[in-house]
Amino acid sequence: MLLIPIGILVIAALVGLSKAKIVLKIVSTLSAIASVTMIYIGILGLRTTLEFKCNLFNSPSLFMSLNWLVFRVDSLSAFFLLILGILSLCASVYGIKYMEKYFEKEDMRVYTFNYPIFLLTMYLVLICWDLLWFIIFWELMSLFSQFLVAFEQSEEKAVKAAFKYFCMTKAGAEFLVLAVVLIILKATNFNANYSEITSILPAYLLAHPGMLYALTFALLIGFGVKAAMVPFHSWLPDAHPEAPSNVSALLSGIMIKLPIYMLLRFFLSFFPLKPEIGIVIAVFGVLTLFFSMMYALLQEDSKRLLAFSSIDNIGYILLPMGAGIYFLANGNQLFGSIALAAVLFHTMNHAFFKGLLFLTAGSVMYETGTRDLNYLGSLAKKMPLTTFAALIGSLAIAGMPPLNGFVSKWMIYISTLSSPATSLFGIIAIFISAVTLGAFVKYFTAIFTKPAVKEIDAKEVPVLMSAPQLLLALLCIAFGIYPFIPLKMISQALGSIGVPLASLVVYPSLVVPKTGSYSPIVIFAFLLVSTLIALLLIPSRGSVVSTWKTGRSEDLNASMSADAYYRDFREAFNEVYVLGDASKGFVQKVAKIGKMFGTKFEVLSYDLDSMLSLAMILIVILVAVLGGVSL
Amino acid sequence: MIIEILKGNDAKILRHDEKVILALVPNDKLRTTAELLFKAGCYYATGVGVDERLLGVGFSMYHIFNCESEKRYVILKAVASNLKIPSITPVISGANWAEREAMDMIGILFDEHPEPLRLILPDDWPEGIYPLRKEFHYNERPPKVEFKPPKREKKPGIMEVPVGPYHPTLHEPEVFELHVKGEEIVGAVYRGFHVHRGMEKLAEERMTINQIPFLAERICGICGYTHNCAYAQAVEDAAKIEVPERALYIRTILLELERLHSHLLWFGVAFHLLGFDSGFMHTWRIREAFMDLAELLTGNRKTYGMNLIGGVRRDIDEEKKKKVLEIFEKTKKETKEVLDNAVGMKELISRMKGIGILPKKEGREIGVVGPVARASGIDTDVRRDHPYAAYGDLDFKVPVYKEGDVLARFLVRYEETFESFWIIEQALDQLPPGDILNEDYELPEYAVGIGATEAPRGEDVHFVITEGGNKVYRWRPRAPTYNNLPAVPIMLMGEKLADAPIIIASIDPCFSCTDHMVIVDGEKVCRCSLDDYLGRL
Amino acid sequence: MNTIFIAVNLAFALLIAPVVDGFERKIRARLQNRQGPPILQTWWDLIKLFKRPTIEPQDSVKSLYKLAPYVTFTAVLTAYLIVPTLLPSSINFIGDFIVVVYLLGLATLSFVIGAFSSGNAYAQIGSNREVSLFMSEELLLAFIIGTIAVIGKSLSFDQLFPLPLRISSALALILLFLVIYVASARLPFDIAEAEPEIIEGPLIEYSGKHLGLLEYSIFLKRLLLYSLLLNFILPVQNPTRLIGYLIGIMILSVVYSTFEAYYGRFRIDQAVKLMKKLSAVALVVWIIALVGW
Repeated sequence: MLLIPIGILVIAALVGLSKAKIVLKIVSTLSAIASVTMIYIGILGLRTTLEFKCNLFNSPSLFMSLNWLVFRVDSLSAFFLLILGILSLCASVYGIKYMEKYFEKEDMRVYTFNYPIFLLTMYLVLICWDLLWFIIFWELMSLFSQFLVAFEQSEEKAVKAAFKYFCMTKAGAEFLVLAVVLIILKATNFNANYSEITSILPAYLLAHPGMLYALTFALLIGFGVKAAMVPFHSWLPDAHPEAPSNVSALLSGIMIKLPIYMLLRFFLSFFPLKPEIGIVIAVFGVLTLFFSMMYALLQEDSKRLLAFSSIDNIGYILLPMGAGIYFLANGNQLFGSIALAAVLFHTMNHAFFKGLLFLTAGSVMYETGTRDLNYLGSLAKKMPLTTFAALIGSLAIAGMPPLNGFVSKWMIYISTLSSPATSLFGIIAIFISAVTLGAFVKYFTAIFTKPAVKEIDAKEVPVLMSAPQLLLALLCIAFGIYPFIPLKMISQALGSIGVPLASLVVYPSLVVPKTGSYSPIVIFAFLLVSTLIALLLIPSRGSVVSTWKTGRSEDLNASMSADAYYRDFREAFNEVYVLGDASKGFVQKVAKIGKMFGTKFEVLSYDLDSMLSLAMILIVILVAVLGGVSL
Repeated sequence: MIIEILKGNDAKILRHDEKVILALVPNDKLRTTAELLFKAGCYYATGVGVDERLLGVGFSMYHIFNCESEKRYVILKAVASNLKIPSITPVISGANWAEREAMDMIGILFDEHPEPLRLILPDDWPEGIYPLRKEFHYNERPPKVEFKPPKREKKPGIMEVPVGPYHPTLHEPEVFELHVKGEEIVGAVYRGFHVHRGMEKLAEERMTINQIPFLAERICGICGYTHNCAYAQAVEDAAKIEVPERALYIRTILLELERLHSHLLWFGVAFHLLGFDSGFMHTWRIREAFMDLAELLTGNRKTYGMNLIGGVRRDIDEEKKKKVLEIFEKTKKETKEVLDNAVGMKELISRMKGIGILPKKEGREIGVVGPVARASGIDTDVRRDHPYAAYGDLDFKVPVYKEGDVLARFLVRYEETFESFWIIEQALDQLPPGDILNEDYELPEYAVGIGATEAPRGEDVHFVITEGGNKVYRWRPRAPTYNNLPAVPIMLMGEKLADAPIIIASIDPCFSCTDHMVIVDGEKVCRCSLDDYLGRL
Repeated sequence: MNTIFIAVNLAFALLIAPVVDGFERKIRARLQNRQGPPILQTWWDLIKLFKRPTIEPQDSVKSLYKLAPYVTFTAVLTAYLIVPTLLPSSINFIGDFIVVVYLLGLATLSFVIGAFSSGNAYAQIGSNREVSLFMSEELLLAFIIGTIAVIGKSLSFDQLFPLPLRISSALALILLFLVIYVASARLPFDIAEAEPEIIEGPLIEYSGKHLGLLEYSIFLKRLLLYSLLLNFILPVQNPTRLIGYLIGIMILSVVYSTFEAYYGRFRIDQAVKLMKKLSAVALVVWIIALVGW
């Protein structure tokens, strides 16, 4: 069962090596089919644990763990598989038409080969049950997603972004390798199977707190880079906009969630629960959501704005994760489980609405060829379906009731606000939620409603592109109004990493005893019914007249430029940007120093003696680290 | 000194007395003369184009300079040869509008004018018809020509915000177009002259010399009396008419009363624009007392109808005097209270401080007048520099501020308000006995006269050429707003959109005063295109 | 029982919100030395607007432009399901503090999107100001919510009404009082509408029924916020609550309209900076609440 998607995707990738035009359709269709099977596996996996084992070779080497290839789908990975499946289904179907416009410009094989491989590696990361295999798949995923970012090879920007992405994630991955090596060398005796680790590691780490913090440090950096956690986020706003939009949807929607998946595994099942670790993660989450959203306000490029908002949502996921670990470690089962449920719920929500928004940005690009918010405008009249989808996406991401974004944000606030230690995180999250609203008012109005500078020639996108958007929009609405289905899945997923979700549901409301309640059904019904009644009682009928320009008849430029949005707000909060830019400058300086060392090293390498001595030193350091001289 | 400049440039002195120097300057020397005058501290008041063909001269242009240092007006006359006169705009930017107006109305062409575009005539006015030429009659309706505003290139990133012709900030129809980046104004264009009433033509053709004061008073709905006075003074200057002293004092009292109610009105408007409606209501409540006073003294709340050439029509008796002082006692206190309250409001002051700055240098070049000039450190006041009515005998301060921002303009008006109380009190106290009207005069033929008053908004200049009998040959009123408006785009530049209304209002604009000049088809609002202006931005 | 209470509260709000505005207009007029319109004038104005046809500007996105006033109106109305007005509602699970805040956010959002859809330059500038102000005001509100949540250990209104008598709760309510003032779009914070500057900004193109709905929702929003503040103070199950509530509304009206009469309008940057400063104060209040005072 678990091998079916692998098989389909491998076939798709092989087909993708051909240059024929029909290949795009075949590959996309095959990917879509693979996605459907992933959804099926996800649903199955939520019910029972699926497993696949195969002995590859029998080597008594250091990494004997690699001898066995173990795939296993428990509820947690099933939950992520479900998201991956739904999103990749939409992205694949969307790609059939969307990618056509690149036919003339680019070598399509870069897409048709790499796209299924990329899906495959994500799938493998989710289903593998062994840390060493995980590292391998992880590296492959980074590699192939990087090729997709660099798809538009004629654009220098894209290639540069891809290079930056690759360097940063590679550097991050080294920390992961280090962490994994440490774990299997020191603790688990060369055993990298998740189940084994779960049983051995927590006890070991409790005895060796130094090791615990070292691992936490390495993992936070390693996964933080991939998840674009501030301050390791700088690759994302460059890389995501450059990829084709359906790939951006996957990158933002699911790929940066895989580190979240692994963090959940590590911190909840492999590691002992420590409140301070929780707080550290939550602090990083808050920093991430705060800075990224403030920067999102500045953006004048539709996809770059979305990319910054993706980082922001990683913050919204890390924050409750940290808070949840903190609560659980302190024995507050109720808030801990709600916070962790919020992690999963927001992960899913973000996958849906951000995927949706990237697809709408792609549709706009498909029709107009631009992402420039200054230039775009008044597309609502020409692309009604896309507009509807983008509106739902924007409302959902701004956390407006009764859409899905609100449910997860509500859970975050409920769990964090009333506890002294996490209250400030919740407060900042509320504020940033308002800023998100501002950013998406900008995104939506700049593209769809404000008058365009020049008349833009556009029409509604073909069905194959609008259908995935509408499907995602529908999911945003459905899971917002009826959040009980995803909550049920989440409680199963959390159960598999040993966190029982306290009963949240008192039909028809979500109720946290003595803390809060939210009844999406009642609110939605009341909104709907009273709007209908208002429409009936006070019907809006009228005549069309020209827009009022204080009595002028000329055609004036009434199009607000993208950088004009919220200028005064941004100026008032200038400190944030000063701080952000200063730290950016600092990072650049560090990078420069690194480069300098690199060139020094290159010079050194011509000199055999010094090279050898340097290698010696490095080996000594490595041995020291691995041997645990002092940790 | 000025006379030397003129003589040095081969000017022919036509009139030389303590009030006015009129000199005919040869065309090739016009620009240098003007430049020298400007450098000598005379600022450009206005220019008047005259159709003097009936006098056998042709078309001529009178450039009027206000020379404060010599307490005189200097008029440079240039006669068009072949319809052409060299433009002085390249050396004095303040002459821009006056020259364009002469171009529109008389058809004089100005050599090397930097922007020889229509100023006053609407875009659908036919070429070659000049309304202030003598062959054009006041009731003529020229055929309309088809006018299509050319398509304009829209610049991304710059929003074009129309302010006017209908906008709550503007109480009269004018067009400002603000180009904003976000809320920051990066460009401003003004286009005015929508409300043309053809008063000059009407006065020349239809009215007698003693009817025009009543027409002149209707130039403005707020500061009408100052126009009336300026006109009367211009004719009295041309005809050398001696005005009884009591009449001069009565004029002073009324002029200051008008300033009081005008300034209070402005305070109210400013408060309203800043959102401080309570202040608005209270200043207008106080203002009501001055309207009643005006009614007591003249029989009218507004448009007093008091002036005739040679004096005034109604006397002020002891009883009225007492009443005025009585009311003053109360209103002075109330005014002080309300305005001091407003000055004490930090939020209100912070909305005015440091915005809409007009530097002194630019102000001088444009030739701004009145409170706008005084707020930018230009120490000018017609009442002191060219004493008229009874101002020469009275004591008053001229407030001058250096900041040049809206707050400075506010404070100038604030201080002037209380000076006006003081002036009226003095004038009432010193009111000399005697006649109030001198009707014993002869109107000379084709004499040039100039009358200037300090209107609440600034220097108000009326230029008159008499025609003998009881008619005028040419009458040209120049309202203060005419000189102040070109400064508004400078003030607006770089400011926030939210401040635009108060900046525009800070010059206390009186558009109808500025727009009074010409007959346009009354039923149709003119369409104006800003394209030519925009091209240069 | 609960449903009846909610229905009564809704009906009360729908009826009284414009009357409260009429009352405030009267007070402002008296302060400005005017006679002022009759107290029911706001109702007559609304009824007149509801009778009028609407106008759709040519450059607008019709569907969004037309739907926005309705959504704005109902979003505010929905919040009345949660915040009790006249009668104290017993425990209901419809929503909590967060839901109310977000419903008001939804009202702002749909208002702004409708305005942006009108295609008018002034509407865009006004909406831009509205959102800027909303974001900065939300910072202050977030701190207040956090403070109240820490004090009451809950976000649910049945736990929070009334707040325990502590220094921090008094300070938090004072700040809430200020936020309500800002959120109810009064001078000096009516920056988004600013009639003399940008001609009512977001409302510029709206007319007739649409305008009526939008104005109605502003009145409803004000009454909702008044009720929210009063509920934090008034005892829940007490016969004096009703009288206290009505008197409270009157007092708030008088205080707010007096404030309004004595201020000039802020510029948007001044307002945002003020909100930022107040947020720093709110941070201190939050710390006080943490300490447990």
